[in-house]
Amino acid sequence: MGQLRQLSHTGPSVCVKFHGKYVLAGYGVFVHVYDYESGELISISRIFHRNKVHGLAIRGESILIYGARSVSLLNLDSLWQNADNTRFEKLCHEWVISGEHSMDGSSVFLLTSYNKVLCCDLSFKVLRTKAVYGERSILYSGTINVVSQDKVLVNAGTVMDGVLVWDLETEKTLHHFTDHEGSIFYVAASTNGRYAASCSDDRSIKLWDLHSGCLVSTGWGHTARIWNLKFFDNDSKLISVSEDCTSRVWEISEEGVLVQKSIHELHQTKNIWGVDVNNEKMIAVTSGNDGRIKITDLNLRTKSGSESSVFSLDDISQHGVELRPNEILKGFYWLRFGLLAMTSEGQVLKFDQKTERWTSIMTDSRFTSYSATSGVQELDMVVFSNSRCELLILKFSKDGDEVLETKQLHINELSKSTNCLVRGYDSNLFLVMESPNPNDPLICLRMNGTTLQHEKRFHFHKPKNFTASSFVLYENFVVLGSRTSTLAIFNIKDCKEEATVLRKILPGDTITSIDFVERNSENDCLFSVSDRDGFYCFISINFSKRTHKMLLQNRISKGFLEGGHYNAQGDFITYGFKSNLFYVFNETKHYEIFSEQCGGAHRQWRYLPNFGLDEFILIYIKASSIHFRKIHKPVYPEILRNGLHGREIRDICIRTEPYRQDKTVFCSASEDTTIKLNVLNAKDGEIRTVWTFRKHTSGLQRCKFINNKFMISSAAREELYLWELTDTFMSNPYMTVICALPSSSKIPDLRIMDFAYEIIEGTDDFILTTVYSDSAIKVWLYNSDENAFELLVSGKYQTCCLLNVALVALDTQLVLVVSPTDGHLVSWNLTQHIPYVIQNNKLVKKIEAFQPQVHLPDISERIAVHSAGIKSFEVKKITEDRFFIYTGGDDNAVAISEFVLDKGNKTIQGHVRSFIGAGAASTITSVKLIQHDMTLLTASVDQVIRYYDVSSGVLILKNKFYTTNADTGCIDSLSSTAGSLILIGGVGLSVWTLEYNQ
Amino acid sequence: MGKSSKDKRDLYYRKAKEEGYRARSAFKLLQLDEQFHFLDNVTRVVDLCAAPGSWSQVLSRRLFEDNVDNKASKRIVAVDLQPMFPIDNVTTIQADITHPKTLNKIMDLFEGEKADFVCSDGAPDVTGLHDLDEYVQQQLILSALQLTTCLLRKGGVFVAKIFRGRDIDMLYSQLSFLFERVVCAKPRSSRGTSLESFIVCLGYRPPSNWKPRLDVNMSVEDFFQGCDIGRLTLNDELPSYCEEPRSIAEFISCGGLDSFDSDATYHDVPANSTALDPVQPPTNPPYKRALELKRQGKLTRAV
Repeated sequence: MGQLRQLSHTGPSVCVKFHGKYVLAGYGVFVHVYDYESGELISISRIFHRNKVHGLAIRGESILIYGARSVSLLNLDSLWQNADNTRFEKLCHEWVISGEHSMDGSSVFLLTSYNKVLCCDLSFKVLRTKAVYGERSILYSGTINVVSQDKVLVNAGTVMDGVLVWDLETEKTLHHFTDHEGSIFYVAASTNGRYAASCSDDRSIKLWDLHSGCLVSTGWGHTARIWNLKFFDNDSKLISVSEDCTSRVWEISEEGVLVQKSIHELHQTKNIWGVDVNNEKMIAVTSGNDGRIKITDLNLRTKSGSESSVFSLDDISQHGVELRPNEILKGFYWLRFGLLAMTSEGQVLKFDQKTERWTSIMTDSRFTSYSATSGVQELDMVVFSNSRCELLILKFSKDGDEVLETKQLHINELSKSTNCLVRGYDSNLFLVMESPNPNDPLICLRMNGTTLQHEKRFHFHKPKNFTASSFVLYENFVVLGSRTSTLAIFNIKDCKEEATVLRKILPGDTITSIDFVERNSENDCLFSVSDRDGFYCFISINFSKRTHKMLLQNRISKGFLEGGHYNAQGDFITYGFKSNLFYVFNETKHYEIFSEQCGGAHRQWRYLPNFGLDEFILIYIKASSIHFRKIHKPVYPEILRNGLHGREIRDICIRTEPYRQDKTVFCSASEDTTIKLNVLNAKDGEIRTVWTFRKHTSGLQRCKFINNKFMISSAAREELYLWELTDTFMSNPYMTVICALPSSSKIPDLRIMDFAYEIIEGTDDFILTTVYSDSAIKVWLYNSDENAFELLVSGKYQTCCLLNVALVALDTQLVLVVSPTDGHLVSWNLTQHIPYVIQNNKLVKKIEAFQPQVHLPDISERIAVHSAGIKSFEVKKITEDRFFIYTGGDDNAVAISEFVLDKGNKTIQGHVRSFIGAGAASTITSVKLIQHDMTLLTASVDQVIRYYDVSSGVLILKNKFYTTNADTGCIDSLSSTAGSLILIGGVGLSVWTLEYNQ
Repeated sequence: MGKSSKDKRDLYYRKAKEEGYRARSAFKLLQLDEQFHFLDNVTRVVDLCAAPGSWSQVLSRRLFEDNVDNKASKRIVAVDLQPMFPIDNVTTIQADITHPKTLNKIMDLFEGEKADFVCSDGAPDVTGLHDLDEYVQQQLILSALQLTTCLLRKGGVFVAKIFRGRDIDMLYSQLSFLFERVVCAKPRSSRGTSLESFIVCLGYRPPSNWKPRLDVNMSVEDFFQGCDIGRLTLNDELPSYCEEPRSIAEFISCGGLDSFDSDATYHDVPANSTALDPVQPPTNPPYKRALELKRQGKLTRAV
């Protein structure tokens, strides 16, 4: 059969711990070691056979690892040196909630789920068992506080009975805290022994005084359950992590009051499980259900001491700037040396960031009341405009001390000016001036960015209903974005040429940014575009052919989108407002980089680069003061491992054609309603998520690539989308929905459980069949010219839900097979209902005089195979009149059924060829043929992958292996002559290879 | 999801409301009984983790309405930590099922006679840590089982909710030491998309060399130490990892494959019918105060 090997695993990580310059993370059955300074993964060591690592305790060179009923005691070195440490695994008869070493390291304590402590020597000989008489409520949580060699306290969090703090030696309860409602999910004690903190199902954190036994304070804030707590910074702070994917820092006042100080959105829906803090570096590490290991700089906002400053108008006048009563800042721009601002009195102010001084540069009364301020950082230039078509351009020296050039301009061609957009190109300044009068032309200006000479003006005829909001210049083309999501392309080499107008390219309104990304070998230019309503897209424009194509369209999870751009690492970064926050978000890796409570979108603000790469500044006015907030490049890697989905992966599909050398793309569709497009390195199993699509609004059911270009996904609410993948650009693969299947009602509430397709030879057209939760079956034709689905046939099986569907083109016939929840396989002969001629197992040409028959024909064959729903099936054609169906069911069974087509009367007959009732201990959720259809893989919820030799048409179990992915639900594979790459999804994703024996 | 769309999505939810059951799970017990007929001739039954009480309602109807013989000697006892609204012919006890006092109370009500049937539809809240959730559920089943071993007559029946996760085959193996036949049954009213099933244990055969004894100081694990069902026992030293005995129980889908499908969407809900209110009002969740604060806008990102 061959060699099976796990290449990589991404899945929930329950615990993390700092140790020196390393982060240790429990990762499934493994412990990962990362160098948090370089971000490098140092080692992966397997600790347990089946159980997940839930906790780690280190004393000296010894590490105690526990998870479920397993424990192991290792020398720290062996994590670095041995990839497999499973031989040290020991089993406890009860779940181990927590473990610690004794003070002198000669023994270990294991707290079990029955509030019992096993005191063991270093070879796990049980020396003593300790418990409190009469207290047996099962625990969800607990920690052991080793105060000294003789004094050990147990903090136990029970399922029903609050928090119990007891003394190990005396076996006496010291405190019984019952103020929480619901189960206790974590209890931690402060190092100084003064406080205990606990969190529960009631979503609050409670702080208890261990001396007085009183509740000191309650912290509210998390919007879902809280899973872990840690005291840090000499017990003056507490950090909490939650199901709501945030981590919060709480300050503990002298009186013991919990005050929420900061909130960090770190992981993907849902659950952050583990947290630890490095007190010296003041960084936190968290781990979550999404398999991400995340570093958060808790001092990001104060690290170098100059991150933020605030100036009121009074403060500014203290610097010797004369401000009139009611004089306010009307606009500002940040240059490399500091800020330039225009006041309501036409006064130009400068703020030098080195000296932190404000000075008045000049006053120009033409710019009183209305003015707009913009600039170009790389040219050290600021541009002021007013409504009377007047411009003031100031060019500064690099240090900002001198004004090198001043230029005043009047744009005679316009009757009024309300809009002035500015960018720098190849050391030139480029301006777009616009008038509210629709009869005025659109004016562009170009001039030398050093001398402000050699001015050239371009006059364009403006399209109707067009108000520019952003622009980009590429070679001789100006691409303007408007307030109605329209793009207009102007050629500055030929101003007479009519503008190319691309109407409504995004669902929202105002286009907030356009950026050039790259040009490919076909001369297609790629641009990223964002709109304020939260949508962004990548559009490819061929200027010479005057063609364009949407390659990707997506929306951010919530809030307003003010811009998006690729950073130096190739991650797409978005920024904007979420209620009263300004945020910067890594859209590729999916985490918040930074947020600031600026009060919301309705204010003057600028977010601009500062100094160099990855350094930014946010400037905003709040309560008539100007705020500067610098965002520095992170000192430590922000992500040690990115993870994938935070909820169950429902389906995976791999594209057959490779993407780059040794790489392939695949989609993962999750319960979290997103589809991720990922790039997989087939050599080492490394996964890089490129895009997370939020097109679906409900739980995903299926996704499949139907060829190298198209992918289809289906979900509840009758959502089915046809996606097109583009891989001709270097930056990334791009994907977008090109067509949606029509739904049967205005408020669709059916789930599209599965779909099948048959491509029409030599075209992009295909026959699609969809099956629904109300037993409906529909057959469609996708016409690529019209980019539309046409309904050909519809009907119903009975009333039960349909789970799977297949189309089988067999010789000259087209057969439909469906598996409902009643465990049967049901087939129809669709041949007469399809407007295509079928030859040699293929749909070849259109039947011209076709009489449509919209009703599903009578059932050809219905056979009982399973005693419950068939969860997954695979079809294989054997000969031109025979096919096999491999099935796995909710009844734990696996089967092969054979269907035979009678060539004479075109009827179909089926029977079960091979059946194994106890095919798994639990639901079989996926079956997959690999190795030239010689081997059948099955995945089941008992977390076992079994493989059967099916080469003789019967099931012969060959082997089985355990997978760490809980709720194991889907498999896809990619076969080559040497072996198969196998992806197994559930709560997490594992990549395996099967190398065939030659 | 609104009341009426839930009606459409879930036919059993609607049927439960129509027939006066407190929860749709009533149909699970009805369909299990339809398959196994374990309620045909029983006199003393115990419903553990009974709240809100839909299984007790089924027991009450089956014992006192469908079969009126021998009414005087019939007893139904429902136990839960949560209070329950009264049900005709059911004695409800608010108590911990692992406590010896609870056993004594039930035995008093049964006048020293043993039970014919014990069931438990209990499930803990899930955390999302699949291994922990499965462990806690199995501990809950074992708690029900320990009480069951103390009060079930020889040949009696035990039914409990299970989730078919990664260690379910270990539980199958352990239960088969105590019962003649162990079946994993999935009623059609239990969703196919859920891992929920029911373990139906027929023909209780207590080991002759083991006497069950509830003790406030013993955990469920301690309780079964000495009862040779293949659970790991605690000796002087923690043993090295070993594969514990596992077996796969027979699977039966019940309620008939032609009965209503809990995964299907039904359209026959009259468009103008007013949605029925749930029979059982929602319980107070522990996070009620957090929800209130959220509604008041006090759980925002503002710090």
